[in-house]
Amino acid sequence: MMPNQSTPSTDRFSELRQDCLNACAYQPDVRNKLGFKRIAVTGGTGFLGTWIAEMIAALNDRYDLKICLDLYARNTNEWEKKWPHLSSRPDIRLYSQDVRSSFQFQSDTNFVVHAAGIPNNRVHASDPLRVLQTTIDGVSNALEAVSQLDNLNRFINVSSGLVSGVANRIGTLSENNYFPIPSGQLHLVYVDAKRSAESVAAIYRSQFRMPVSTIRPFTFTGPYQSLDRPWAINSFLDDALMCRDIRIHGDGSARRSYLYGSDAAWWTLVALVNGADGAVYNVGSPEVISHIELAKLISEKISPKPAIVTNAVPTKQEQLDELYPDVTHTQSSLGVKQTCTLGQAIDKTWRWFSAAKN
Amino acid sequence: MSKKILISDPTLRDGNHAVRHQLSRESFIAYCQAAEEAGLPIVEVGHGNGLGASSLLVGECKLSDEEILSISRANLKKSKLAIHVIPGFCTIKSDLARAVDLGVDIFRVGSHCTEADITDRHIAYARKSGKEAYGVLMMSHMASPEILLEEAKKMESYGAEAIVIMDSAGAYFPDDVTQRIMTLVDGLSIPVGFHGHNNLGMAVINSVAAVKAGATIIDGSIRGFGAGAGNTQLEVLVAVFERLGFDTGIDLYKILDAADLAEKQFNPVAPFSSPVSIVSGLAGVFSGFAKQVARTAEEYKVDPRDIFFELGRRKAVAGQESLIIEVAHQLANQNMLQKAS
Repeated sequence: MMPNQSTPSTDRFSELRQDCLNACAYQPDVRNKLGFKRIAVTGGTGFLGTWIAEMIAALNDRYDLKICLDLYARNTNEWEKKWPHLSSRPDIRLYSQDVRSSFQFQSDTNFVVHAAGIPNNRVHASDPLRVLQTTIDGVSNALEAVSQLDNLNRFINVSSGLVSGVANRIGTLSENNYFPIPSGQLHLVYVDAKRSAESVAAIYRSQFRMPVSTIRPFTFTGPYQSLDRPWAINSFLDDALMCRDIRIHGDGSARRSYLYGSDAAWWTLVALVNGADGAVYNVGSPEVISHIELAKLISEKISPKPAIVTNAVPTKQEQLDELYPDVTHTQSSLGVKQTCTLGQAIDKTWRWFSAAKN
Repeated sequence: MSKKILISDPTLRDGNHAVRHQLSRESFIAYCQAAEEAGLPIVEVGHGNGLGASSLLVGECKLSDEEILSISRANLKKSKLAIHVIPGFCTIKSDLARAVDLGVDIFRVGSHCTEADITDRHIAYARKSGKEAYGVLMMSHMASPEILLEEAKKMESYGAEAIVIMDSAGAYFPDDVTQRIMTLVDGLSIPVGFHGHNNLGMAVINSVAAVKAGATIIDGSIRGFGAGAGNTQLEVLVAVFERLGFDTGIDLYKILDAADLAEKQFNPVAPFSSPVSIVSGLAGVFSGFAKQVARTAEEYKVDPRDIFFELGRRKAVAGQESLIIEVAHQLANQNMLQKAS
């Protein structure tokens, strides 16, 4: 099987640059409010942090906004080598920092996105203590650090759409939907910890009157994603890139939505600038798709089409598996919109990884 | 519609224990052809302890892993080729990568039942290579159903597409199996399987209990060819499942023919529950220890049954073969002191 020839990109990064400019084009007021500000992102070398770096680079180069971005991460070396077009820029600085220990931000920091966390569910069951400490100690240490800042405009706690719990019903999840999460189960420690982190953020907002908001990311896709992360879309893309059958965990009825990286980064920056104290914003796409349909969409990228293989348990009734946000509140409060459709996101992601493979 | 059961046949892997890993090239060829003919969905091959395990400590294999995989691959067309993988014995760079190249379809990555963490990279590698990966929890009688579920969930999160629990010591009774399988089926979103041993004569009924509790993958060896008292006897299993209305997709006559072939080719005496293997089942100790226990008992002039019960008390697991000598030595000293007093 051979990958279909999609529109070739002469420069992988020029397309990302354009994606970022498209994502922020409709909110010039927000762009201007970011001008001359210093932004810190913990977990800065992850998917969201890297897209924020891409976005800041685009804003500074196109609009000369002179934004300064500090990325904090436990291990910055690999990122520095992997993405020199970002790491070599004078407006982006890397700091090696484990958020489980107390630390300080640069004293003139205006905005903080606390995105440090371990969403990789392979680690959740194996090293739950590290997951818990990174989440709970991390948010506490980050909030302590921002409490020292004189010019803080806003702190964004990056939570997770998973905190809504297991709905076991069809439909979107709004910021006010909460369903049970069994306690004491190790593989759920991430979700439990994220709920607690939201409480910690709420306590700092209330007790110390700090400008804190929370975003809840759902499922993202795009360049800078690590395909070895155990999420369905990554697995499907990886199978297709390797020209082999696309294997689905379950019967394929699970449904998700996928927000492209440039939109995810821009929505986060808008929440930084225009977020309200104590507010929670879902960040995700309203465009819902089942795993089986997603696999079909991806399978069209190669010729001949690979088979799609499901792995349902015949003796077990499949539980409803729905995880996608209601973004009405986010869109109306922050004025954001999705600029990259699911189809475009898949195309772009496919092109990125195909180019990397070749 | 009858319930579909996926039979996985470890004759050419677990059976290697029974002949000190001396299965010949001819045996591999003949049995692979017979298994293929009978419509066995999965045929597992290799050293008894899996890929990369051939060594002085656990026994040197007559054939290299590469020979076994090449021969088996060449003789299995419709049946999937599976291997047993224990991280520690099996390295990713040399062993797993070669197995991928040689066309293995299913990687059954195993660990002691409370150590699933060690399977992370091996499962991920198999999945990344586009292969099927199962998680296998060995000596599963040593953990409660709840602990087994926790460990199984780790494997599921690493990418395992099924979880198989092994009754490595042949220690289970049907109720034990029912409890564990039901807990796993309820808590996991992937298929669950059972691998029985026959120390206490329970392998077939335990497998039936597993299926009734929701398992959909069952292991069985031809003529019970396997470690210690042997595995669940495949041809009996197929017949029993047929009678119970479970669909294995296996041709009964042809699997009976395969049993005849095995008797002539490599398994003249079917494994049976010897006094020592009964004790190993009662003590909850890995059946594969039987030969070494017998040999060591003779050398140290101690009762092999005492060795097994002491190994059980110490919760010995596969890979701790060196404990056998330590225990025998200790028992010999105790006997000497008793005689002296």
